[in-house]
Amino acid sequence: MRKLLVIVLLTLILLPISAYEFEKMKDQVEKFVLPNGATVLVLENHDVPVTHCITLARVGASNEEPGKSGIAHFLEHLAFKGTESIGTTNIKKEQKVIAESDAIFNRIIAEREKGEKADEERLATLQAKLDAKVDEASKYVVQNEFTTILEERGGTGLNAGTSQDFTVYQVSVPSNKLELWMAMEADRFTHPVFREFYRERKVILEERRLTLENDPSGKLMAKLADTAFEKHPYKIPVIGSAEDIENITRADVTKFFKTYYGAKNLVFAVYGDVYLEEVKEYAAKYFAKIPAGEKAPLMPVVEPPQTEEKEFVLEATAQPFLFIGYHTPEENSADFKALSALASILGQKQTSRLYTRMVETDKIAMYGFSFVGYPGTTYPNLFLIGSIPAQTSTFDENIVAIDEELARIKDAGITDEEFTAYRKGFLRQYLSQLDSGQYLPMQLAMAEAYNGGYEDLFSSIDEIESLTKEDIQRVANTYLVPENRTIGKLVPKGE
Amino acid sequence: MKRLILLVTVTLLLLVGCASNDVRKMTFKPLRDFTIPVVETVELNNGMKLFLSEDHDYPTVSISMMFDGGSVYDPESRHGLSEMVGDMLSQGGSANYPADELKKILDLNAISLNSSFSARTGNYGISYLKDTEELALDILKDVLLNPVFDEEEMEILKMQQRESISRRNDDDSDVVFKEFQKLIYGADSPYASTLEYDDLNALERIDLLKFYTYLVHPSRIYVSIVGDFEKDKMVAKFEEMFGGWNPPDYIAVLELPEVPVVMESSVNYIDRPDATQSWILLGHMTEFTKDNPDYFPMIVMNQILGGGFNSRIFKKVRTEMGLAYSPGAYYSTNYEIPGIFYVMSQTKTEKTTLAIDALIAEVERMQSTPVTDLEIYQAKESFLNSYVFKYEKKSAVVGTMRTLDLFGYPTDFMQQIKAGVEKVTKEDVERVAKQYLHPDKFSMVILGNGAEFDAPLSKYGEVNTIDITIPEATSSLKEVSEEMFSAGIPLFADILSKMGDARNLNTTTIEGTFTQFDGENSRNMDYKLTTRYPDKIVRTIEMEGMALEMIFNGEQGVQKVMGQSMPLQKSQVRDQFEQSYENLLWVSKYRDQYQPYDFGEQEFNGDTFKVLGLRRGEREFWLLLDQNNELKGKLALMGVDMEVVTWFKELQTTPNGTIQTKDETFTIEGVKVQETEITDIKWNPEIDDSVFSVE
Repeated sequence: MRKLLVIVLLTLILLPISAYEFEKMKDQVEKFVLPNGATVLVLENHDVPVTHCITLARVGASNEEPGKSGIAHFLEHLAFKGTESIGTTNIKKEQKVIAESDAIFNRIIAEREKGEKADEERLATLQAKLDAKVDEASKYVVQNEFTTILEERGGTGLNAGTSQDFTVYQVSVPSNKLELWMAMEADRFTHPVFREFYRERKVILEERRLTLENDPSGKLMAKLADTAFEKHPYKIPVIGSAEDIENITRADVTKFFKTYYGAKNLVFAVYGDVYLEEVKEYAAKYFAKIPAGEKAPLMPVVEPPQTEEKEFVLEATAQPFLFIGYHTPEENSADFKALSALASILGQKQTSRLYTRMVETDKIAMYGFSFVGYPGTTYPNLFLIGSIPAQTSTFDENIVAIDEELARIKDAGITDEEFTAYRKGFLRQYLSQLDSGQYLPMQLAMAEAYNGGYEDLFSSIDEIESLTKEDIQRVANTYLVPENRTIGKLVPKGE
Repeated sequence: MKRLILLVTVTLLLLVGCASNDVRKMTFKPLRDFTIPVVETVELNNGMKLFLSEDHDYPTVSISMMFDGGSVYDPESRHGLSEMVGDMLSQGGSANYPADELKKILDLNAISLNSSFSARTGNYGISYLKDTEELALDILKDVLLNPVFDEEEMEILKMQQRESISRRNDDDSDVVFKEFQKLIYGADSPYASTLEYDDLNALERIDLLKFYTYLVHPSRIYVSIVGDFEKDKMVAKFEEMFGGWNPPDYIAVLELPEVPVVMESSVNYIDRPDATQSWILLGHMTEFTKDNPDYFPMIVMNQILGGGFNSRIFKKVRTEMGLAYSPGAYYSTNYEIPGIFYVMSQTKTEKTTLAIDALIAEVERMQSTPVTDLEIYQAKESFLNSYVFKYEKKSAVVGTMRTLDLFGYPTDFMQQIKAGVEKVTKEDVERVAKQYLHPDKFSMVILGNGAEFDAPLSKYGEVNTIDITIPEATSSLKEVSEEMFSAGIPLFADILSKMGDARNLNTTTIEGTFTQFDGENSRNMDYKLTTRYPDKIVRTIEMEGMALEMIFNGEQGVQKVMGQSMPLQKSQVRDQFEQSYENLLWVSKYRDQYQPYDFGEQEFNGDTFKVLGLRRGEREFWLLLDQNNELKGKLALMGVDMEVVTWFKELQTTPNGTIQTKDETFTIEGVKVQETEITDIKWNPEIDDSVFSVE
């Protein structure tokens, strides 16, 4: 058996990671930029008559102004509410009622701003008036027409997501419906109507209750970012504070939309049974109408360096959970690839350092893991180490074990076997992701928007090749130091 | 070789209208024809079925075996067994790939090996980069044919399972769905099973090995193979690897447990005083399986009621009332057993009954309000127009086909569904809504902070509060009072005073014969036991000229038979020593390590005996004494949960200790299992340490 292992090891060292067909695939991607600045990426694949469609807006929660947290996500919800021609029976009358309802809400806001002196009775009267206007507006609404048109014509995987860094809209359509998607997507970002605003706010507050308030680990993650960051918007969760969500106005959303949803800030990507020429034709016909706007600059806020260890305890009706976050640089920095490799070797598989030590050897944790890039990657972010302590163990035991494993890497680096396994595993994971529908165009769009061009997606393998064991050891020594970290403990209530 | 080529062209409906800027009136070319991926099926001589589809886009291959058989066959006393078998198969190593080395090899070669068992089926699979094919297939074969279920890996898994039991109430959605499943299928049903600490504690490696042999058989394995390979070569390789595998099929004679359709309305509440949001789940069992022609109208009905942005529930509860982020209606149909229909929502605490009422109202409205032309048109169109996506991924096509085959469904069932939905009418939808939805028979599960609900749940009926407290593990030790311990001390002292004192004993060799009884059959063996107290034992058994030698040394152990030597699992070594401490010589020698207690009197075979409990760590056994405190026998555990009585037929007392030279062992029901007779004992003989070597 030992002999077999040695043979396997030898073959591996002799086998270089081949670039497979990445170069060919890279050459197949076509990119063009419309006069208004919108970027379009096309990758043809004619196996099955389906097309995966992605719109990426270079805007996320980190672009929000103080007091307006949650607005990027709120906008993403409202982007499904239709346009001037989709989702309404009479746009003129609807717009009028919408304006009236907004006027009432502005008076509510003014009253609320009085704080303790706010007149509760007056607030209740205004709320009743607003509710009546909302009902009135709904008479002109064709509910969920935007999504219904797509679904009825075979659209699936209809979804959207907002992160700290970006907002993405996705759908897959039978390939004969390409024009439909392009027409609707252009309409959505040219003539949007943020209808049903007040009702959607309630839905968003329910989403917040579901994913944050009533989810202990969600709460712990949010508190970790809040504690680790002093100034940077990464401090605030994407969904926003309940108070801000309550006070956002439709005018705020419209302003945010005008600032960040210009064509220059949008990347479209289609992958599947399409032809470049038809995409170009429809893009000229539809996407070209989207107002140019401005390309959003990077956020100027710089997080000051952390100088001493921070720690917090969160009580919840749940079993213990430990998170440690270290400040690390952004994705486009030189060290990010090495940090990703470190995260994998330290805690992303059963042979990882943390799993071997904490779960298998010491049996002090049910699971130990690590990853980099929380809560975003465009700006400097956190390298996270987490553990689910065993009932028989303590937080201290877990932290000591983590520190000892970190020290081993810092002192002696990683082994040849670990390094080889990481590179080979990266390749396989990369391939399996490319093979999944919406993922590929989404990755193309992200690389185009954030990493200097879609070509970057195909150079990841080369970058992994140029990484050295020493790089990984060096970043562990540079960033994973106590004064640069925040320790968060979820402690069962009453213990 | 059977060749199944499916050349089904899928043409999607052409929408008719005139060109305009209105996207609603946009017209489309018909979707171009395409061929459904070719799936080849091959059956090996031993019944193993292969479903293959080549896909050369990326240099990867994925092989997935589906086993016909799951926790429905778990023995009653081994709840969670097949689930553990599933978790351990890919983790526990094999004859040629011990667990710890296997993990490294998989990692180094970026091969992933996975396995799991659910109620009805099991899965075992491997995926790899093409350049590691030879190694990957060898691993696939060796783990399937010679799994080890390594003890240490099992300990780690048990630890993780215990942790996840302790955390199972941390997530609200997990809690409501688990309780809902229990209400629908019954708490003991394999389709709703909950693993408890006691279940875990009862599982031993030997159970896994036995059950695996019992459960896994080539004629019940359905293999899907997708990726960058050549079909003929792959089939030949499978023939070579598995063609000669022909074990007996034990499970073939078993019948699947029936799942009767039961619907009973009930209101169930789970108290979460901290919650700001409630979870609501309302539903019942459905009385049909997928082969019922009403399956097709049910698909359309559910789409209209609660399947997506355009459904009645989504529009009402989310878009209009703003009560919830993800409300909806769902039904699970199974191939063989009744499924579940349910509607669900989360909502803020103060709106709980408002949301419940809204959900019930929509279900009732589905039964009472006619379906509009637009609704049925949109529901069917969206289902049919998106059907092409079912064929997008070859792995999904192949996977579906082999699942259909396992459950005895026609392999073109996917096309039948499409054709079936195409024919569904408004009348069909209205009829199935009336026939299969029973809002008056809902099992309701509501989790939240009941004190703040907008109305009491009692408006829906008598409220049953579900206690989700996690049951503690029951100790295997007897409950013993302080008085019983106090009374045990003089009793134990009296027994010891009557026995020879073994405290100066360092070594013994004992020779004798023993007979094992198994129903009508019995087996006679000679044995020799060489001991250097307390941690070195050699046990030799000879039967019909064949010798088996087992050496136990500290934590290590080895088994030698016919010149072959194999390491023993740690638990086997541990068990040997634990059991040794239940022998009279060990009791006398290590008297200070036992906690004695007086367990009162107990009757066996019509005679009454005094019972002296002797506890050592987490184990205990009992000495049986007559009224004069004379030793008559002992009561102990054999395995995890079988109690046996050993009667001392002859006792020999020497200055070096007391030992029974003749005994007979019976189950608690009085069935004889073995008898032994000692022919020779040597006290403190010289023994060369090399006999205990485990190298």
